[in-house]
Amino acid sequence: MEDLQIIELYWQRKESAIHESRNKYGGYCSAIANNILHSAEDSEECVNDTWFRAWNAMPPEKPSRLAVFLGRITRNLAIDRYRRDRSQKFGGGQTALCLDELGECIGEESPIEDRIALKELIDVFLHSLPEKNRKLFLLRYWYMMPVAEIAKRNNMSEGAVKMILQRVRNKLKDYLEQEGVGV
Amino acid sequence: MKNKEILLDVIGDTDERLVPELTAKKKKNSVLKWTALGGVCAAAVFACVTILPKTPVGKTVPTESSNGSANASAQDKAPSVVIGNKVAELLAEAVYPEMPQYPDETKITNWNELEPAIEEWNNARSALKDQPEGYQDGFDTFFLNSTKAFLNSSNGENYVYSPLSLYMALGMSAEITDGESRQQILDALAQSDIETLRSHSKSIWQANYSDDGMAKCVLATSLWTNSSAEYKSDTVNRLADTYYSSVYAGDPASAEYNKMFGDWLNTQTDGLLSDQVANLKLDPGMIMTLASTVNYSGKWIDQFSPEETEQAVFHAVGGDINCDFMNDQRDMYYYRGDHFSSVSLSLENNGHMKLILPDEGYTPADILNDAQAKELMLNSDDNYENGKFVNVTLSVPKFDVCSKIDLRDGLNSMGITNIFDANKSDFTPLTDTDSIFLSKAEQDSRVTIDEEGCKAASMTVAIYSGGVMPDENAEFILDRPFIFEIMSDSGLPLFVGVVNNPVQ
Repeated sequence: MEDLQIIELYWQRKESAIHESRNKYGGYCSAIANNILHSAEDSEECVNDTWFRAWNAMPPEKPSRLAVFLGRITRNLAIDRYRRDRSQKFGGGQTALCLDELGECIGEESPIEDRIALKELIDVFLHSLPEKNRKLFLLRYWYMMPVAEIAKRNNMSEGAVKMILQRVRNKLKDYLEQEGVGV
Repeated sequence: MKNKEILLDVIGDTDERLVPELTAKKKKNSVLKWTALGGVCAAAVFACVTILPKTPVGKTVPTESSNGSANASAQDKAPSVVIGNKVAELLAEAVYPEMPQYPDETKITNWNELEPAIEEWNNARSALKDQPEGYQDGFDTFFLNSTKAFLNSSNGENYVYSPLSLYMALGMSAEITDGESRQQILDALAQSDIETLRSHSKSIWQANYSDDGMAKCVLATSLWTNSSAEYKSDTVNRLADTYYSSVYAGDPASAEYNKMFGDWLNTQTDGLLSDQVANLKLDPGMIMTLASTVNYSGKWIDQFSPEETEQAVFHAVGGDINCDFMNDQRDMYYYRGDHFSSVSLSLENNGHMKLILPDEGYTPADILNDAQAKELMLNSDDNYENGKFVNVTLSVPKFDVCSKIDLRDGLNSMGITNIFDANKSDFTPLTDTDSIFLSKAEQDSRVTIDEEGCKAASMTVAIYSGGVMPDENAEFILDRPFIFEIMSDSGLPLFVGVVNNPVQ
């Protein structure tokens, strides 16, 4: 079913919206949750919660990209669950690794209070990146995809992916320092 | 909550149009081989500037012995020397900076081996790109003026012009002239003085140099001297040093010397212009010919799938024709000007190709004079006020276009006139021979693009079925005459052209 039709089902308050979402994006959302949690059982719960969050969000929301809209809900739910139970339970997931890597980009000296300002900075930064580097960065830190899978999807070596990610992180670090974030 | 956790959250909230799709179809897998430079986007140009005396150079000028060594001929002799007496010889060979090859990933299985190799490659590349601030100053002015002078297409032919190649050829011409002749060239290049030009030319050369097995962008220059003429060694040395020139000497009437000349051009352009080179001969009476080439080759970051290529109609100036169109659907920046639209296709570590499609009712010539288009063509990144990240239905004709430009009229219109006039020219830095002038200045170019090259498999982003609002979609169908620009990784326009007929 087309995305616009699925969104329309949500707006008409028809429960088949959930069925269609699960059919079309169940695997996609599971992959995201599993990247973060590395646990089939917990991932499934997050994905099930995703449809109900979506049900509550539409209307009024009318997403322009349903996949990303649903994926973002799953991502947030999975990260919340990760934080709740921490890494002792989800030791094999990518979240701890991603957090360590992102820790290279941002200082902890002064706590961030203005998330909206940070979001604007990140948007500007991502827009400034070459298309390929942006794609690799978001596969890693939006989807929290393992480096090996990113490499496979893009027909690159893991080394090349790591190198590009390292360079983008260095650039982000310089940019955030220059903007006085976290220092 | 720690800052790094907030950062992770905030990345999740980023502009959703930037987030790559995972549900898109995948292209057929195949092995990626970096070392095979394919013809995905290949371009080459040579510009030749021939300098003649008003009366032919004598054949009886006494010659000093030459040991064939460039350095010996260049540095150990009196200011005025005869630099060769053989039929054809290489006096000085340009020595390019060392550039490690990008490692062949198909042959390395151990990540521990790959990482240092990539690091070495990256360091060498960064060192070349790290040039003094302001080294591109003046290039914008030169680009706009010269594009106006050389790309005035209106007769239905394809036009290709390389600003960078001409810049280097003119830079060399400034070195061998003086007085008003030199000043006219400096003004056209928007350079304040010869020292600034030297510094900028060298930096431009280095910042744009790439020959690492993955991406190629080589600016090569050479001097073809007449072994019967006398030259001032300081000037010849400076040309060799500042412009990475090879220096040759010989008898321009001899077959050997002409073969050497043709071989050099073919080597520097990887044979892409061999038809044009075959028709090129040195003028037997020349004082010197300067040749400048740009050899460029790169691979699309997001390649086109050959399975999606289809024949379709291109509305050429002379009537409709059928040609192969490469098709895809992608999330990418889309620029909407008042009278044109534009997208950029990125090349692997080698800049990008900008495609500019005039709206119906406008010609490429109209758009080349459009202020918005000029600004766009000088901009090397995607942050345009009129740009938007949208899902683009892309259809690009495979093209292979050649062009020959006689530079004389265009150079005249840019104010360079004295060097063409034997009575006004001043070539004293090069030679004391009287009454010499620039008899010929031409540029031959060829640009070709396709979807293949190496058989890389890359994920096709997009093609998600109907999940975008209408204002998030754009069509970019290049089915009528359009403009392209190849911009180097350092942000300089290497080639700009008008495709009136993709298969002409």
